[in-house]
Amino acid sequence: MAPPQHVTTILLAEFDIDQGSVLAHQYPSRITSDNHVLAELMLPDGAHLRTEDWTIFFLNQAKPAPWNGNKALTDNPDGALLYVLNLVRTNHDASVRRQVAFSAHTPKNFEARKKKSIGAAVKAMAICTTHQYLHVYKPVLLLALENYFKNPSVDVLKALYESVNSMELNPPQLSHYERTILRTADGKDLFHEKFLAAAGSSGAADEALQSSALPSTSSTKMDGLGIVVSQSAFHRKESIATLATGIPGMTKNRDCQFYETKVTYDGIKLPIRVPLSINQEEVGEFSLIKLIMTFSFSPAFQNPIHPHLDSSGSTTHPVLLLMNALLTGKRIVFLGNGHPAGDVANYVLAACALGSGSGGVLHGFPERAYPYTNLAGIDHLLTCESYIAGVTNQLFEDRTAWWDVLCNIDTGKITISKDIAPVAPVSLASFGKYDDTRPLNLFSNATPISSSFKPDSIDNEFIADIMSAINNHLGEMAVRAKCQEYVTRFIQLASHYEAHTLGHTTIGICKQNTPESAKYLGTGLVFQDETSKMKELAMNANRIEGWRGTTSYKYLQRETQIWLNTRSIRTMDLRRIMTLLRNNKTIPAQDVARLYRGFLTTIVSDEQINEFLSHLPLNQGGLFPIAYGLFHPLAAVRDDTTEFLNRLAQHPTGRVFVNTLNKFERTTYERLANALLIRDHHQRQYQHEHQSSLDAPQPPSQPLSQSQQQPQPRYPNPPNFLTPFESGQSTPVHEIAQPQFA
Amino acid sequence: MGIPLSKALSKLFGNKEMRILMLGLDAAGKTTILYKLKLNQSVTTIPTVGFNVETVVYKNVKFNVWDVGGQDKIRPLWRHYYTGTQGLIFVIDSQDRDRIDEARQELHRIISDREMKDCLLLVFANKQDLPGAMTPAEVTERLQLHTMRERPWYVHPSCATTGEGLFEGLNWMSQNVKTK
Repeated sequence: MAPPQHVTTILLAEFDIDQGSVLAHQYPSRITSDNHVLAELMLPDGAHLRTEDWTIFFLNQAKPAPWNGNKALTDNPDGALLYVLNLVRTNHDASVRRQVAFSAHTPKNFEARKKKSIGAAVKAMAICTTHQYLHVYKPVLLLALENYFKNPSVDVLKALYESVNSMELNPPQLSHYERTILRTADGKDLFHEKFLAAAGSSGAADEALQSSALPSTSSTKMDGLGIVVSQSAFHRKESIATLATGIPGMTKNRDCQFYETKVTYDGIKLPIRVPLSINQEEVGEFSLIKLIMTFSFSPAFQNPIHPHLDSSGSTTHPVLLLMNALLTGKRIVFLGNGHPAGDVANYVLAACALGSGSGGVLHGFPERAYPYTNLAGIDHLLTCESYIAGVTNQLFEDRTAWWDVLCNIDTGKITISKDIAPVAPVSLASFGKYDDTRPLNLFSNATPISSSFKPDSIDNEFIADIMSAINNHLGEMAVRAKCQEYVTRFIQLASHYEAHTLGHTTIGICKQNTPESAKYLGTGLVFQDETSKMKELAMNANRIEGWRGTTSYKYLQRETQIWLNTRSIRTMDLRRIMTLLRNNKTIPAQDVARLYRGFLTTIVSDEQINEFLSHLPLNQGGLFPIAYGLFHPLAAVRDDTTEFLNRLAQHPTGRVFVNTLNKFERTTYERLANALLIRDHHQRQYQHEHQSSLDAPQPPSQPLSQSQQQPQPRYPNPPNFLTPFESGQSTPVHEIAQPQFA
Repeated sequence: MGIPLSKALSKLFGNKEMRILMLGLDAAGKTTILYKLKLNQSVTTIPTVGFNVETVVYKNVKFNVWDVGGQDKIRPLWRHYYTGTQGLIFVIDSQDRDRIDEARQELHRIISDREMKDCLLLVFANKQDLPGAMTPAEVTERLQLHTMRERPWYVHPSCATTGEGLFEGLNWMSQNVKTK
């Protein structure tokens, strides 16, 4: 089987003095028949004014209409979205000036004019890849284009193609939940077993694995009942260092966020760092912070009020206006007048992240993103119902019919087009089409927006939160996480809205699809109280309706359906539970007891543990909300929490989480775990002594009513905190994967 | 509130703003003209990828001049610039007799567009410094400008590198533009 191609095509375009932009080469085969538009995109406006410019554009998107008459879709039948990284360079050729040709008195000699009149060479090379981390190819593309300037031949493209496709790529296979966990972690000890497995599959790590077997045997033995959680990290660090040496993709100073490999081009080894925790639709390198900062400080403009966009009336924060435009699928243009195309491209990629929850919540944004486009692409753009495009031609500003929302990256001004298609605000009458004739108390009961209450406090909180994160230099990933959280919440809210107005929802967990959730604190978004819930629903009704008409809504419906059928935890709404636990809501003791018992019975398998942990971001305190159970007044809750933490500690990822408990929690956990072990020990002895007796009495300390269940089988062996990974190296998961209850 | 005030002021002081589109075949000298007008310097230009745009103020008139690349393949993009254009500067390489017919076809194609029906036409018979250059009369003849009856048009000889003739052309534009 042929190895999967990292790079499908290499393109080369140049500016021909007579014809203009032409696509000179496509290697190994033609990718599109519309060479002209492609060449125009590769040679962005104003390329002659600067020495180099990096741009990004996508191919094979364009579902609504063929690309300006091109056959992009039919050329590539599988139609996977291709990400194109493009480098354009202008090399001034000082020896031959354009004017020279005309003073040479050869008006008739056309060929002579052609040869002599090149004052500069503008050439662009592009890499088309299916990898969303296309920026890793920047160094190699730079070298290849340099070579092409020296030797303009298709051989240069061929060498580049072969070089990038021979790159070794065996990143650890991480599930969706595992990537979510990784994203929020800054530790270096996550998933190293996956790294090992990945390295092992490439056959290079056998030796290292064998050498690592030695220390593990020595440390498997337990020192009585002593549980020393804190030391395990130290021990493991040593073994990581041993393992890491000589394994591809793992250096000594391994960063678990990246897989390290290299591309050898032209005899030069170029290190490549493949990001591992990127979300599904996070494309390229971009700065969400830059996007937010650019558009946060623009003064209020006289924009027409649009129900989809102005979720807080005329005081809507510009970043939220942009967010609403993205959510409701408006035609959005980022204009950077006279900027390099790479600048606007970064804004477009960042905007995709803003609207999609950093590419992790909503989908369908890259397929309508045109990070750089120009007049050559306008015919296609105008056939799209919704797009996010980056342009550098100020002409776009005047053409208000071409866009709905224009964001000027120089002035930070966001303009709503006077030609934007008007929509009627959601009214009672419009609900008739859903065959739901119940009177809608949603809007009649809600207090009028104009009254004293602060409009959209959640939205304002979000902006304030993001601003403080930026001002405190928490970094890009923190801001992306907040954005992801916000969009996730928007979806929950929309789901609530659907349940409220239509009676059912297709985009979230609800009573109907998760009936058992009634036992575990219910489903859906947590509101402060009924009034704030009604207010929020009323405020968001318009943009939710706007969003429900977009493709990202339809994608989410489909994805939710798939998720509901394949999810590993089918009985509870973890997001709701975590919010409740985190917010220190007073939850009745019996509910807490049922919940922790639920954790113990439900979260068993590797996948379930990963899904569970993915709701407890390490950078937001990790297990902190769960550890709360260690201090619960009910002994049953404390026991269940301890046992559940024991289980997590047996899991390679769970152990990392357990290790991040603060000292107070950890000490309590260690004490309780020891007590539990001793009790189990005694219990076993007791049972052993009374084996002949048929009616062995229940131990007095057993939590909850055991009438319907056998006494919980405790771990046959005491939990092994020191070296669970080393000892269970072959299949660390299997031990705990056995179902504990029939 | 700000915009009407500035409009009133500009009326008072006779400030006018004019949107100019400068087209022509490749290597006619459009970019050189643009930067000569803007900087009063003869700059060495390289082929324009896309467009250049500059604001030139001359005699209280603010000219927004768009200079769009003239190569064969990119001429279809010219049409996107038509809307809102008040004056067209069409630049002719007076020495390039081989392509004067091609230039004529392009010019007639541009001005027959509905969006361009009200716009002024200024033709620069450029590169007059070169030997064997066509005279303005010859250019007028070869471009068949006399067939245009409705439209104000004007042919002026120019030399972009020295700047001769450029401001005279702009002067004609500013005097003939219809004030809105």
